[in-house]
Amino acid sequence: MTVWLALCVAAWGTPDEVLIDPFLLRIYGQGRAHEEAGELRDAATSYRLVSLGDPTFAQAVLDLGRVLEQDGRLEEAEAVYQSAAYDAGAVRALGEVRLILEDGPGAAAAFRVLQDLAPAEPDVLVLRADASASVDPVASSRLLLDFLDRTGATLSERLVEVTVRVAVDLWTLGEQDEAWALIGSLEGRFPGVATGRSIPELRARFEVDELAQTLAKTAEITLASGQIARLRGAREAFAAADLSRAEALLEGLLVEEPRSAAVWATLSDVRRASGDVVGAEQAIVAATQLDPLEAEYAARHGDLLSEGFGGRHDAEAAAAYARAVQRRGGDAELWLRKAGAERRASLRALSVASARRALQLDPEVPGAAAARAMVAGAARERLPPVALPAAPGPPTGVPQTAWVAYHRAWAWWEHGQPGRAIDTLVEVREEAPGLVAAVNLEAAIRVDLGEVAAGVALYEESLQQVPDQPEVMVDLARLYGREGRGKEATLLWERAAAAGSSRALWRRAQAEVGALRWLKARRTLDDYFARATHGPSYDDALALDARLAVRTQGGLAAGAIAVLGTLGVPVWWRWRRRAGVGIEELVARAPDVAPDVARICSALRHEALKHHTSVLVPVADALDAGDPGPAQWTSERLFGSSGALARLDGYVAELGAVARRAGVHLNLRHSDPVFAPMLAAVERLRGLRGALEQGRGRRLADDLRRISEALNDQAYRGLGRLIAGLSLLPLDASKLVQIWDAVVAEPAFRDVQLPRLEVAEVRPGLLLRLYPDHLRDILANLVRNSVTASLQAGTDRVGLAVEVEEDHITGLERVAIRVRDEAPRTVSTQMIRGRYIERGLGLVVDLTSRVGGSIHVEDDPAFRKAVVVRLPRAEPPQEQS
Amino acid sequence: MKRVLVIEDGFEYTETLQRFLSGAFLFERAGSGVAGLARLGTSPAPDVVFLDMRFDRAPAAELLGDLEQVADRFNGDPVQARRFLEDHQGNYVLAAVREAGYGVPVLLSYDFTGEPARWSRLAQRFAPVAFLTDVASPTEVAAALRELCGG
Repeated sequence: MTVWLALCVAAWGTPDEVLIDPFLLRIYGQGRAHEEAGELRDAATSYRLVSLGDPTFAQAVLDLGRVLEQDGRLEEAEAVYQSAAYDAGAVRALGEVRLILEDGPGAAAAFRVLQDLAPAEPDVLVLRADASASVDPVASSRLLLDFLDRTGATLSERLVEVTVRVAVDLWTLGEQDEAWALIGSLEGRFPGVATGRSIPELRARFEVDELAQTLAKTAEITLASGQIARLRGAREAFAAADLSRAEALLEGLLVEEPRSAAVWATLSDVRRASGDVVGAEQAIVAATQLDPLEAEYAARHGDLLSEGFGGRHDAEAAAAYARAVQRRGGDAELWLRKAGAERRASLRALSVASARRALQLDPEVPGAAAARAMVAGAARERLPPVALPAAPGPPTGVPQTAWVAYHRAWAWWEHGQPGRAIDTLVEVREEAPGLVAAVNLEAAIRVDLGEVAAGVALYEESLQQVPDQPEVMVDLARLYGREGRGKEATLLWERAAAAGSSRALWRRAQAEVGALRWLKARRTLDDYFARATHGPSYDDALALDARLAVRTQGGLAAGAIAVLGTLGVPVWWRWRRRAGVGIEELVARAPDVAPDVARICSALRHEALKHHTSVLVPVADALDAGDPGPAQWTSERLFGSSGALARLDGYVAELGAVARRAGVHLNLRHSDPVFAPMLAAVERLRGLRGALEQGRGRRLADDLRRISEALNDQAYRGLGRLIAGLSLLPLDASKLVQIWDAVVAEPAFRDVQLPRLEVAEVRPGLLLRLYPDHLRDILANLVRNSVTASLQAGTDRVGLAVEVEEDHITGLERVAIRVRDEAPRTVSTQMIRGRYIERGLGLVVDLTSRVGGSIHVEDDPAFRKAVVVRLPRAEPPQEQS
Repeated sequence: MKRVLVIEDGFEYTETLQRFLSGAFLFERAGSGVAGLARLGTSPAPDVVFLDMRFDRAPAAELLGDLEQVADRFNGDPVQARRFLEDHQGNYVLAAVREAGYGVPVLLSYDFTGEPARWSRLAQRFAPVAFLTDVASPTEVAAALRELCGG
């Protein structure tokens, strides 16, 4: 029996054998056996006997309660647990059975007691929340939030189940913000729940509820045509930066029709532009309430909440973006903005999921690099800390207590209490007089307190005890220096360096550099690096090391260069002459640079060649007549950092920069037929600087005449021809028709009844300074828009016309290409310039701007409206005389 | 001696012409169109104007021409508009001189040889006017000035 009892006890767990009567222990064992055999009543009887015999035997109480519960005798179990209300396990079980008995308040009371008995168990809060959920969901919610805040909180099924139940109760009570906050906190603390089932289902239910409520409040309204016109007027005013007028128009509209989401959304934009963030947010909220299905409003709301409130509403911003991506799920940038808001709101799992989605949609979305880093980082697991070996114990002969006290003194000093540090050190030195570290520490503290003499004495004492302390030597040497004991300081510095102090070695190296003893400095620096691994002077030492390396290797390098240069120069020279292209080839390869090239060449021609080089012939004439004055005066104008030749160099460099940006290697000195002789002439002119400054020189006048011929005749005319010939494009009716044909052949216009094209006669001989691709891109977009608008409006004519317009002040002409149709106007010139337009039209604006043109929307009496592109007209290249 | 009013944003023309032609002409300088117009209204009136075309060193406030109206040529871009006014400021000054009623001959320093049609329009509208390329020598400038002044 005894063996059998021992075996049973071992199998089921060992009671507190020390305190239990052996007889009772035997009965307890019987109870276990009955329970194992399913004989619950007998088991209960045995346990009851044990608990009556020893009321402090809490395990018996718990076992009794358990079998009573299994036997369905819940009220009896409750009474049993109640009898052991001193025991945390019994009280926990009491609360649980009361929950089963649907006695919420009773369970809550029990769990409150449990909280006192087991204060270190945060999950009691969950139990309390469970108990009070049906009675007071708000209180339950607070308990759950408190739990989620605790460091020891762990995720459990019960926690999720209780949270769901409480959130639902809160929602039903109308406490929707509390419900959202509870779910958000759970997700924030345990991000994994967002990928489970219960919480996402709950979210979906709440979101649907909210949306249903919102949709019930909306009603589709249609603005009258006059109101639409005023809305357009407000948008145009906004595009023209007339914010006050825009706002006045919109507010007037809202008085008449307060339920227009479009008006509220536009008002939000206007308020935001004028810096009224709170007003903008209020307006966009109205827009989202009136049109909750419009993704753009939700996205804008998200932007305002993210950017305008210092991070206080990032969670709401994330929710707004979530609503936006429901409607615009293919917008990668929107997903990234959502990820950003979620990250700031500490919704990390959601943030990573949003970033992943954005990258799936568009791997090159702006911000993709940061998103990839975040996704990669989220998957990383941290390594456990390295198990470092224990620090060595105290030095030989130093008691452990003294060693500990020494470190405590150090800590007092670090804590800003030097007095207590010194007091502790005094005790340490009494206990361990051989601990020189304590002497050094006291010295350092006293010096810090201004007690220099005391510090000196302590350091000297330390060095007497242990002479080989290089860093103590340095500290003492510094103090000697402060006290004016220069010779002693110097000797001590040297001793410290000889003993291997890195600080002393660095000081010595600096001194040797100052005395130009490079080789010694090199050796000292090598000693320094053999000892130092970091420190305040380490970076400076590295820099000095690099300088010494350059210096000592300079001689070798010079010799190597001399050898290589002799052999390599011819090879390099031949390569240099062949590589690179001229201006014409540059523009052919990168047509977009033509406007910049034309501008720079024109400026070079006008600013650098004129004025200064045009006087070379009169200067030559003056020299022949024996007057050096003009030559000297001209040299001042030509040379120097702000002289004409410097300006020319600047323009040449600017051309090189333009070419580099376009990925082309420009070689003006060797590959360009206009620039090569011009730059050669400029170099010859530079070579005459001395002679010009002196106002004399053999053949100076003849040289100046030759250079003038090269610069002011050949180069000037050559540049003129170059500029005139850049990107000339003849324009005629056939080009317009070609563009029309290409557009109407597009898939979007297949199988539709196209409007009729009418092309007005085009004056012959029109030239544009434009590349064919640019003209095609500009006109194709406009023709496409016109055809689309005509199809939508049901009109049947599109016209293309070309006119020439003259500027009466400058005499310049422009070619106006009119794309006309009979569809109503939906955009204005101001809207186009304010970029209140679709992307294709935006490209047209950029292109026309780049080539010095413009775009307008105008009335057209022959049709209804025309989108007019105006481009500079070029004259045919002339032979320069 | 004939009086020549040089209108330029720098000093290069004035200095060069004074250095080489001071024996034949009296040169004065005005640094902007506004200053030039003011000088034309005082006596003794200049006999001829030597007018630079490009005024890229002039402050914006001293440029003639309506910046906003010119910006409309460039999709509202004020930077391009300003550059246009600077590059063609000579045209604006010439137009303002004529608009103010001054019929003084004007020699424009700009190469119109590549733009004959443009020059033809300007010469008709703003006569008496002539042009010389940027790299005309002082001798050529003197000949052109004499021809404009009628001797």
